[in-house]
Amino acid sequence: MAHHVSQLLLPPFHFQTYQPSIAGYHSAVKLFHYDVSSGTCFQQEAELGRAGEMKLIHLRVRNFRGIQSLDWRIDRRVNCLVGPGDSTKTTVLDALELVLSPRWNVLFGDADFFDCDYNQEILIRAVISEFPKALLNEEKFGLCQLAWDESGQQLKELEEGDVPVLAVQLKVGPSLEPEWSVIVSERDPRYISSKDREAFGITRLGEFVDRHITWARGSALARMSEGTQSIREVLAEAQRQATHAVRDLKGTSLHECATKIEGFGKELGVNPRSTYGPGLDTRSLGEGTSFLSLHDGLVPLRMCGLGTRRLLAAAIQRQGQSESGAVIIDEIEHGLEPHRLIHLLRTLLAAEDKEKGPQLFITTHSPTVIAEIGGDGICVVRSDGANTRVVPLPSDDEFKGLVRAKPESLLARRVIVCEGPTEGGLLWALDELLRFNEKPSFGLLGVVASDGGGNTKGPALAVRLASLGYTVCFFGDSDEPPNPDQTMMTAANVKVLLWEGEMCTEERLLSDVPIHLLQPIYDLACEHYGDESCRSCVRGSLGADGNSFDGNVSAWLKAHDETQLRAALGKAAKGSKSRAGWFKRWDKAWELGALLFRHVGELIGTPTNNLVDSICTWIGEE
Amino acid sequence: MPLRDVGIELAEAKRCYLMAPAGYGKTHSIALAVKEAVAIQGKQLILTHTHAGVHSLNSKLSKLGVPRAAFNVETIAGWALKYAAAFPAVSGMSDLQPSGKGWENVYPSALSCLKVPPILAILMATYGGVFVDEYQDCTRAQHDLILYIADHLPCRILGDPLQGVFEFEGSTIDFNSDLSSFSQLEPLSTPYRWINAGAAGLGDWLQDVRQKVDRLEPIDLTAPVQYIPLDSRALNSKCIGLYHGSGTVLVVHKVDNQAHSFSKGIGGKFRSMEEMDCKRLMQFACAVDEGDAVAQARALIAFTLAITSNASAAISHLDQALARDRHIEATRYRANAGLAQSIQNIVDGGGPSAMLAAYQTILNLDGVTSYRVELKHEGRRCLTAMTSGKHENYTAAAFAVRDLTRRIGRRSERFVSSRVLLVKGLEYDHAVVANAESLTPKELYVALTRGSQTLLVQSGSTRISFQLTPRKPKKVEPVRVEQFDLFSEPYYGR
Repeated sequence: MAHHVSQLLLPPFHFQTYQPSIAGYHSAVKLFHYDVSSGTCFQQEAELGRAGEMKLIHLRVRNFRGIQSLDWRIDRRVNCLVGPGDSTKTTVLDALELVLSPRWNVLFGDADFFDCDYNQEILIRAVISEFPKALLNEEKFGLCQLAWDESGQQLKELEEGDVPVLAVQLKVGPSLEPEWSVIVSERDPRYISSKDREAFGITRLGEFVDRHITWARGSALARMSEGTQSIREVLAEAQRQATHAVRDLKGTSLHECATKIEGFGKELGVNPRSTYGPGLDTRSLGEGTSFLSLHDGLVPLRMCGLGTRRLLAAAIQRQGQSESGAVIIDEIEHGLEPHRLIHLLRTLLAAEDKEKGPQLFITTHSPTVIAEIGGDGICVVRSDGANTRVVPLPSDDEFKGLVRAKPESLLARRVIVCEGPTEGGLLWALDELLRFNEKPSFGLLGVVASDGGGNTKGPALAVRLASLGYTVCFFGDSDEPPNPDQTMMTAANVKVLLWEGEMCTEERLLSDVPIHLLQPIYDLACEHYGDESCRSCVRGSLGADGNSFDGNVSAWLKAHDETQLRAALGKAAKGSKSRAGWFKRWDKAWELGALLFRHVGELIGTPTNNLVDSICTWIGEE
Repeated sequence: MPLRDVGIELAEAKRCYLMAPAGYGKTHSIALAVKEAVAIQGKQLILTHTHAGVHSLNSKLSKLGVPRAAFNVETIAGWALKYAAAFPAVSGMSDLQPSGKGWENVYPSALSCLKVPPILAILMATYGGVFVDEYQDCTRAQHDLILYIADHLPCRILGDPLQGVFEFEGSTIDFNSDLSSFSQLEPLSTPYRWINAGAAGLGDWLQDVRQKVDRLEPIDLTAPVQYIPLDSRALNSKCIGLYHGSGTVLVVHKVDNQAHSFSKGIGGKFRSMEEMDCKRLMQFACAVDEGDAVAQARALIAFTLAITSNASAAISHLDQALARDRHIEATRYRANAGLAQSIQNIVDGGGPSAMLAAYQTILNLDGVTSYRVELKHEGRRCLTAMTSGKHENYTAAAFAVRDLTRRIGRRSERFVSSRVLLVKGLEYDHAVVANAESLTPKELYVALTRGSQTLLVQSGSTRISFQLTPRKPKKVEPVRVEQFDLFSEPYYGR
């Protein structure tokens, strides 16, 4: 169906306009107010109560799996956790899910304790503001309301003017028995049942997504269908029909068998009330309802692709909860093409109302997701093997721009920020060289080469990344000084690697390569830009002697100075404001690098070799 | 008006006050109203003053089939403490187990909590309406708390100014001026308690008395009331007569010592009612903890003497011997050598087990009966708990016993001797009011309305006159404050 753009409604502009706050809770609660003059009571809407959108504001984890200690102050609706492998992202999500989970049969083992030391109690504590109203009841947890002390980053007693919070805690000791409670004071936690924990509305789209598209007990579909009762009715009816269907099949071997039995029975004096025949026993379906699942026509949806199933599960979750608290999604990109992924993300990020929509906790390894969410919702997870830190990315526009442009850099532990694509392409080639020589490569060492986008943006990105806990190296030219400069970057813990002599990359390389490579490099440029164009560039750079250059390097060198040609080739390759350089693209620079590194042995002693050595050394450092 | 209609009227009222005399179907009206209100507004909070009140409201409500989850009956004290203790930073409460005067801080504390919106939100999220029973027993601080709640939830107040026996200076509620913002419903007017007991005549007589007490007019002790002259033998013989009859009997005195000595004098046939705070037991435990072995033995003797009749002959001289010699030569007491030895065992450092053994020995003596049975059991429980080694000292053991008593409440006895303050709200078949002229008008009214079938009044003459100038309000008695202390914890859990 074709759309006419003019007929489409404009969506309200609300994309990513969520304002993090724990202070703003406005909703109406009916109050009775007594009017003295008229002597009557009237109901008045008063600003009191909760907006219904639960917010997790702090998560504490102790001695849980790979995390000995984590304290995370959560102040956003969207939280997309990124970080290298083993940075305990998934453990953070697991902790979050477990502490608010309505499951009562969670099994813990010694391996769930940090370092398998079961004597160190597992403790997971979630602090929640604007918690579900059902829990506010005097006999539930209304009297357990505390407040969050922002300066001390701890719980405190509720005072006038504070935003009330509930602190929910899960403890597991050596007995492996999980205990959920709401903290009243440190000494005196109050047990919270799995039924009450249901109110938190935590849902997770993880590995086992299939459950969400069945009517299993407690599933979102079951909740939407108003409980087990209606499900059982459907099942019972289906079963009755099945019984009839089996009876109505005439003349099968089963029927013949039943008729025979009827005869044998009669011989022994057993008289049937009606006639014997095969039928389905209603008990056989048992108690479970998980085999009742969503079908498309006759095909169960579990036969669909993972992406479709995950999207559907997400859709069901969104609808199935009136007061959904938080949605946890592991590797959101799993099984989804970029366009479906972006659609899902946009739907999740922008709910109908900017303040509304459940809190999101996502992990990802996809640059697409990072670019889509932007700086606002990205949190970098870092683990030093015991202590995990979750650092939200700064949300200023400059940084957001950097993140959108270079999302992949956030996914590594060590980042080489390259000044431009030329340096980036060279590193690709270097990576290839390392792999060819069976040396630890970038991927193995968790290193990503990222295009910094110039001598201003690049260094800025390097400094910001370093401040987030990444190990960062800046790799750039030295013709124009980077800004922030080398000293500032070094002070910010960025390793700075610049070419020797005030040269750009192309100039440096062309002055250092063995002389027999000058021709192949020139030819490579010609392949891309044509003989004509390249020749005129070189001629221009050679000045008065240029006219004799016809594209044959050795021929020209017979009569001229090698240094002059190297400089001219370098200048031509670098390009100018009006003309793009020969190798200012990742792929072209990669080809150049590949050519270069084929003769890496001949570079020994040159500044190029020194810098490449430094890069290799930095990569290999842990 | 039929009680059903009263119930509906109460349920629909947003802010009202119903005057409900004793025995006029007040509890039943509340229960009916709660049932109605639950359907309109949801869960109801019902506040009263005593555990006995909580108990009777609970049982009435479950009789009417109101679901347990749809209402919450609590003492004002317990309910207010819950809020004050939950938010110490707002309430400033540091003492989470207040006693005595400490209780008076609880109500302003709870009030300051409820003025904080997120805390008020708890109340609003939990309840759709409030009932407050026995309003005449409210203190000023409690009244302020209720007024604030009434600004936010439908609030119905029930009470009877004539039963306001917990008086102390400047603290009582004046039903006319203090409740002016509450609409007054038509007072209950049918004396159901007496009609149902087949004693309508007594009901009519009490209705008349009610007006007279209100106006401080003299009361004539004529039929259907039986008059007893001011003579203890006459009182005793009437009571023995009732003892051999059927039904429950209450003898009302002004103060507790009179109630105890009456019980003692009549040979333990009438059980003297104990307060919830187990004062005598606590006193005993303190004396034992503070004294040496001899003092411990003497404290035990004093305690047993306080709860039994006829034991004095056997044990008083042992006490004297201890006071004189700090030692008992058991062989000298041929008749009671076992008893003497059991006391000496305490002196010899026998500890809790010796105390328990001596206690049992004394109570098992021939002819000894206990007229304070509950106290006797509590004493044994306390000593037994000590022998088990669970408690640090006797005081701690006594505290544990007191907590248990508060939780499970007291057993009701068939023949009871008590004082006015403890029997408010209780109902017996036959009531005997001892020395009626010693009571204040309100105390007298409370005492007179305890019996549903027969009423006997002991007095100097057949006409009781009140002084025309109202008596000076009584000073704050420690008893008054302890009365509140016993509400400190709601004794039933949820």
